[in-house]
Amino acid sequence: MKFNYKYERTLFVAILAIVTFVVVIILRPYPDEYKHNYTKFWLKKTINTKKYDVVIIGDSRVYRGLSPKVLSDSLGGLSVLNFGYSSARLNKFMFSQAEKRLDKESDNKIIIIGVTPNSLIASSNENDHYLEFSNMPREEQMEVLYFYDFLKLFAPIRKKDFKQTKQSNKPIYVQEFEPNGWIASNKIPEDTTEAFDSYTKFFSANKVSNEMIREFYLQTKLWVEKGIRVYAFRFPTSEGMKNIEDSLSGFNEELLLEEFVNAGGKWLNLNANYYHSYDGSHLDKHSAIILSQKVSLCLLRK
Amino acid sequence: MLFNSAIFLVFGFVFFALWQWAKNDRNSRLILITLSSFLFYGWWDWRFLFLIIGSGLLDFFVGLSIEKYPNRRKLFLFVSIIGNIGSLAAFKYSGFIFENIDFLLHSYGYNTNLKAGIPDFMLITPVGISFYTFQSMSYTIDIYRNELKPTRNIMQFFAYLSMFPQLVAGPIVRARDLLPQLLKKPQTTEQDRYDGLKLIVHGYFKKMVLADNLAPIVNQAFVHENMSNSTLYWWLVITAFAFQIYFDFSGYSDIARGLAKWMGLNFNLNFNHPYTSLSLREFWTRWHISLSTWFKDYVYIPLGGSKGKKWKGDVNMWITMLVSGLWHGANWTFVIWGAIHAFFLNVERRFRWTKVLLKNSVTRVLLLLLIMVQVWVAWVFFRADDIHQALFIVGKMFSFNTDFYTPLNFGDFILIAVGIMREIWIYHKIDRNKFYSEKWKFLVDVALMVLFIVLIVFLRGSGNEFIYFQF
Repeated sequence: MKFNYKYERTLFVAILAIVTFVVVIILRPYPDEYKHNYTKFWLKKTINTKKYDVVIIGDSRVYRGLSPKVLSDSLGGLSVLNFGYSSARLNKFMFSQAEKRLDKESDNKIIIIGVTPNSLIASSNENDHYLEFSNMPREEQMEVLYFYDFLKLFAPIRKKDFKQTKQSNKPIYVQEFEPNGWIASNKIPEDTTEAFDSYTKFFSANKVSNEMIREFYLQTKLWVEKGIRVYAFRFPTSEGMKNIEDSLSGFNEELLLEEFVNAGGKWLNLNANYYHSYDGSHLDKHSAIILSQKVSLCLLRK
Repeated sequence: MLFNSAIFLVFGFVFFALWQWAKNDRNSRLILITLSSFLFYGWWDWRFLFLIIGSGLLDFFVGLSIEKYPNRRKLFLFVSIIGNIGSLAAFKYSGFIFENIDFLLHSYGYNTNLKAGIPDFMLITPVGISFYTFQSMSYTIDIYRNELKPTRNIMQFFAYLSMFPQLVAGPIVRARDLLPQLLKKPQTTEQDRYDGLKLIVHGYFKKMVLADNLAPIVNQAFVHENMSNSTLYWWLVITAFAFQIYFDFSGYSDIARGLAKWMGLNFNLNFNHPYTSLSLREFWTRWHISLSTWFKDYVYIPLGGSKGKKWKGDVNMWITMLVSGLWHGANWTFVIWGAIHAFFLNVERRFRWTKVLLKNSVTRVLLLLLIMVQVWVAWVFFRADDIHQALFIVGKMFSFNTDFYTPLNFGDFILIAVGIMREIWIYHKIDRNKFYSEKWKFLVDVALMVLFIVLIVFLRGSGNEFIYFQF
């Protein structure tokens, strides 16, 4: 076969390139899916326009610690969204975002607030986690949500893609991205004091903001006036973490509870002894399920 | 719009589909080129389209006026130059100028902050402003010199000025070369189309595989300059940068030339294996050829060139190199880059030392390395954030310590080696037909094309902008 004709030469390049592409696509290593699953989970949670009967707000303890499915099953099929974000603050911005996700037509409009001292501290980078996904360019959003499976075939091959099977000494963070905003989590092996140092440092330099607490009461009052039932509770964590928060953060649970109830909210008292944290801060999957059942029981009682 | 973006793929596909329909009719052809080029440029920031249109309108009408009123030709040329240099000064150099005035006034005890008074939008350097301004200016200068007839077709002029393949990073195409091509019905053969494809594939390979993978080595070194004191490490880093900038820029030029070939147009060669030069003078006939010839024709020669006394030629060369440095960026590091080249060129002109080493192949290799050393030292200033950093790095390069620790990994060494091999060794072998016989030329050619296409997709780097966009 002669390839002297110029047209054949271009065609030959095209055919050979396509064949090579197919071979590489079949044989190549693919990058770990975790990053994509993580991005897709948060993006869907953030840009989702669906409305819910129940919206839960708070920080990472909340999105790891409450299962919307368990709540929904126990609450007779009410739709539930876990709207927690890392380092989310209980401030006007997150309150308004939560309210937007509430179904205005529902007869059971409920907001559940998972209170942690961390979420009541004013910070310059507050709600960055939420903003990272709400501000993601449209093209990137499309790529993550619709084209990933196609584009990953042509993703650059990196050295680290070959190392996936290699054993690592680092603890494995098991994270299951569940629908409606919950991440069921565990760490193997677990370190139940892991978070203590960073929280101790943080609370030594940062204290709960009175301004944010005032906003919290005011918002509760406004929601109650609109016919929304507002529930709140101090989110369970490890005993050690609770001691750090109580001694360093300036958080006064008694006072908060009293004022919150005066504003029309309903405070849930949950026995913290039932739950287990894998890192000293966040609840593991099993505890999250138990907590979700307890919360739904409390909601049914009140 | 970047050549290495998904949107450019769509743009290119639509453009060449329409081109098949428009190319046979002159007006349709010119309108398609102009509108597509405006879309290409405006994709980055549509506001700066007004700048290119303003600059173009000025030179279009100045060109006509020079022809119509020959007695006032100097005045019109002056208007064009002031307009073009003025827009460059305002949008590229205003921050630099006012910063230096502030610095001078501070040293005399005046506490001024003139830079703070510059409107924000003037602190953004419009992409490719130096390229299209020079291209536009050369049009009026050529008309002034009676080397070119002004066009009366405004679409032809804007098609020339805004031609998207070369609009933002060159090559700088002369009006006398491109304007006549735009009027002719483009004829492309299968050979042209294949050659165009080859240039485009090679261009993308240089940019996306070589330059973009070399970039992290360089960026890491310049961000964490204290990471290593090793002389070896800094020579490797600067070698990586020398090849990064070369592959980045020549890759862009190759893509531009390939796209032009598909349109039936011809852009001159912009890079001709510059790192194989055996003198600095030769380097400047091989590196960014369209810019060096622009400076030669519109700065060096009008200043007097090398005519007359030797020192006058030296002064003209120094001025040209310093202006060339400043053209690249509003920072003293670029001026010093130009000065280093001027200094070494001056030594070469005066002492003709390179000729001594041309005698045999061993001394020729030594000469090649010595030229590289000069170019590499200048690159340090080109890449550094400030003079302090550049001096620190040059200090490390010439400390000749025995610290052989380098934070580079095996892959980095491979990349640098591929850069050197591709540019120097393979060039010498392939271009002289020593690497393989003619019989195998076709198959090797096709195999390389396929390999490059596959590598572009699967081994591409992190997708940086082209370095020369900032100029």
